Amino acid sequence: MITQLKYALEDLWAKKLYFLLFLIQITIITLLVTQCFSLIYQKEQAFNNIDDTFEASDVYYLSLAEQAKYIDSNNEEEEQIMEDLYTYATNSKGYTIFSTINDYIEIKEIPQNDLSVEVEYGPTKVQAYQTLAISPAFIDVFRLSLAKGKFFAPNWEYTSQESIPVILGSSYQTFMEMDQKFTDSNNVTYKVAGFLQEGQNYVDISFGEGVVTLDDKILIPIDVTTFEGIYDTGNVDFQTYLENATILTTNNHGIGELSNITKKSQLYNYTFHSVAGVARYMESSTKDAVGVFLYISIWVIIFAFSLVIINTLEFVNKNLREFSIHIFCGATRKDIALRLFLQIFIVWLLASIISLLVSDRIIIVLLVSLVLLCLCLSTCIPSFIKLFHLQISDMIRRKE
Amino acid sequence: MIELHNISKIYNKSKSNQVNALKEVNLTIESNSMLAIMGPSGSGKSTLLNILGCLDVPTKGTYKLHNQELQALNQKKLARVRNQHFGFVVQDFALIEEYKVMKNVEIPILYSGDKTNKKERVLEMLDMLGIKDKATEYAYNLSGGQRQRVAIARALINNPDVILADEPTGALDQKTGQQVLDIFKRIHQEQNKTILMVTHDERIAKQCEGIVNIEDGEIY
Repeated sequence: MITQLKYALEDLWAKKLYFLLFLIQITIITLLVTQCFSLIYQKEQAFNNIDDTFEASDVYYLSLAEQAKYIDSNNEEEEQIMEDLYTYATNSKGYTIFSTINDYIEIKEIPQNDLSVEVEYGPTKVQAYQTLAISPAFIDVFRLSLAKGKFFAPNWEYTSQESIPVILGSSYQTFMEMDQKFTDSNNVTYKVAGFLQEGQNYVDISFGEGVVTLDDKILIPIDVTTFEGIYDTGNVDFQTYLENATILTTNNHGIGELSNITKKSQLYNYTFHSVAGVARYMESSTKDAVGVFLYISIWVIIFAFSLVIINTLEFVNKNLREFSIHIFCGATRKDIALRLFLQIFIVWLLASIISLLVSDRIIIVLLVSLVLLCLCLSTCIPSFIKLFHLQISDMIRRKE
Repeated sequence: MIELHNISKIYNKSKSNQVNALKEVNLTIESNSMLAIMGPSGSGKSTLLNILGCLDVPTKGTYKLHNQELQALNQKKLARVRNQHFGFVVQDFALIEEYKVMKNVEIPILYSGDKTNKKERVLEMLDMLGIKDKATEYAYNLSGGQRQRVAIARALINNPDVILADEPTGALDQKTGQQVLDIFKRIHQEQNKTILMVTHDERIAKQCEGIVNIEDGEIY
C-alpha cells in the first residue's frame, strides 16, 4: 500500500501537467453538475414557494375605475375610504395585504458591477439598479431570510433628514457593505440595513411574472403615512399602495368586509380580482421551467460524464506500458490496480476539496463528487480487465 | 535448475482461433548455463520465455524451479518468484522514459522485501555496467546501448539466478549489440547467472553455450 501510494504520488508529480488538466476538468465538471442540480433545486424551491404561499389563501388584487357621474366628489372622503381600506386590511386577522412597486434608481459612486441595467428616461439612457418597494407583510409572506443585518422596522416612517434603510439582494454582497450609505440621482440617501440570503424569491402577482429572484434587487420600505418626497423616497399615497397591493384572505375569509368599506366611494368602482387562475398559471409555468431546465441539465451532465469517462480511459491506456514494466519487475496486477485507484482517488479528492471551497452547496458537491468517483472507478473496470488479461510481454513490446 | 515437463500453452482454448503455442515441451536447464532460444516468428519462443519468467502460466504440464513447482502458485507468489529469481531484458528496453536511470533500476528493489542501501546498490550496479555517470539522467536522454545497460542493471539489481532476454540486441547496431552480448557473457562467467536469450541472430546464438531450437511450439 505504502509503495503504491508513493508511486501514485510520484506519478502525479512526474506527470503534473496531465494530472493538472485532469484535475481542472474534474473540478469544472463537479462544479458544473453541482450548479445544474443546485439550479434545479432552486426552481423546485420556488415552485414550492408558490404552492405554500397560495395553499391556504385566496388571493386578490384591486383595480380602481373612476365613476364618471361623481367626478366632482370630495377627494378627502375618497382618501379616507382608501385609508380605512388599508388600515382594515392591515390590521384584520382575516387578511394579509402587501404592496410591491418596481422601480429603478441611479446610484452615484458605486463600484463597477454587472447588476445595473440600462434604462431609458425619455431620450437618455442611464445605468440604473432595480428596486422593489415593499410593505412589511411581504417579508413574512415570502419568508425572506437575511444573510446579514436586520429588516426595516414595520413602523418605519420616512423623514427627509434620515437615510432610507435598504435590504440588498445577495449579489450586492461582493461590493457593498453593511451600513454603507449611498445617494441616488435625486440626492436621496440610502443606508444598507442588511443583505438577503442567496436564492430568495417572491411571486409577482400584479404583473403575473411568476417567481422572481431577489438576488439583484434593492428592497426599499414603503411608507404610506408620510407624504413628503412622494414616490422618490419609498413614500406612496394610499391609492398607489392599493393599486399595487396583493390581498391574501386567510381561513376562507371572504373579501366582503373590504368590499363593504369601498361601497361608500362615489369616485371609484373598487373591483377585487381573484388571481386563482393566475396562480395556477404561474405554478404550471414554473413547473415547465423546471422541466426545461432539467432537460438541459441532463445533457450537460451527460456531456460532463462523457468527458470523465474519456479522460479516465485515456489515462489508464496511456499508463498500461508503465504498469506492465512494474509487473515485470515483481508487482502483482492487484498492486497496479491499487496504484491506479490511488492516483484517481487523489485527483478526485483534490477536485472535491477545491469544489467544496468554491461552492457553497456542500451537500450537492459531496453527492456529485461521490457519483464522479464511482464513475471514474467504473470507467477503470474495462482497463483493469484489459490489464488482467493482456500478455505482459505483448504490452511491453507495444511501443506507444 | 529449471525443469519443464510436458508444458503446453493454448491460447483461445475451444474457440475458432485456438492457438497451440507450446506442445508438450520438455526442457531441463542446468544452473549457470547460457543458452540461446532460436526459432522462426510465431514458433513459441516468447511464450516459452514468458512461462519460464512466470509472466504467464502453462495450460498444462509441470514447471519446477530449484525443485519447487510453480504452476500452482497464486499471482502474489508468482510475482515474488519473478522479483527474486528472474531478471528481464527485452528488445526495446522497457524503460519508463519519464523516470531517471536510478529510479528505473530501483523498481525491482521496491517490490522485494529488502530495501536496504537502495541507492548504494543501484550506483554499484550502474558502475559495474559503466553508466554510473548517467544515474541522474532521464531514460529518454540515453542512447540505445546505454538504455540496454540500464535494463540489464535493473534485471540484475535483486541478484536473480536467471536472466531472461528477449532479443536484447534486436534494436541495436552490430557493434553495440556485441557490447551488450559481452556484458551478458561477463555476468554469466563472473556471477554464475543462468542466461536464456531469445534471438534470431545465429552469430549471437553461436556465442552461447547451447541452442534450444523451437518450431511450431515444439523443441527439437
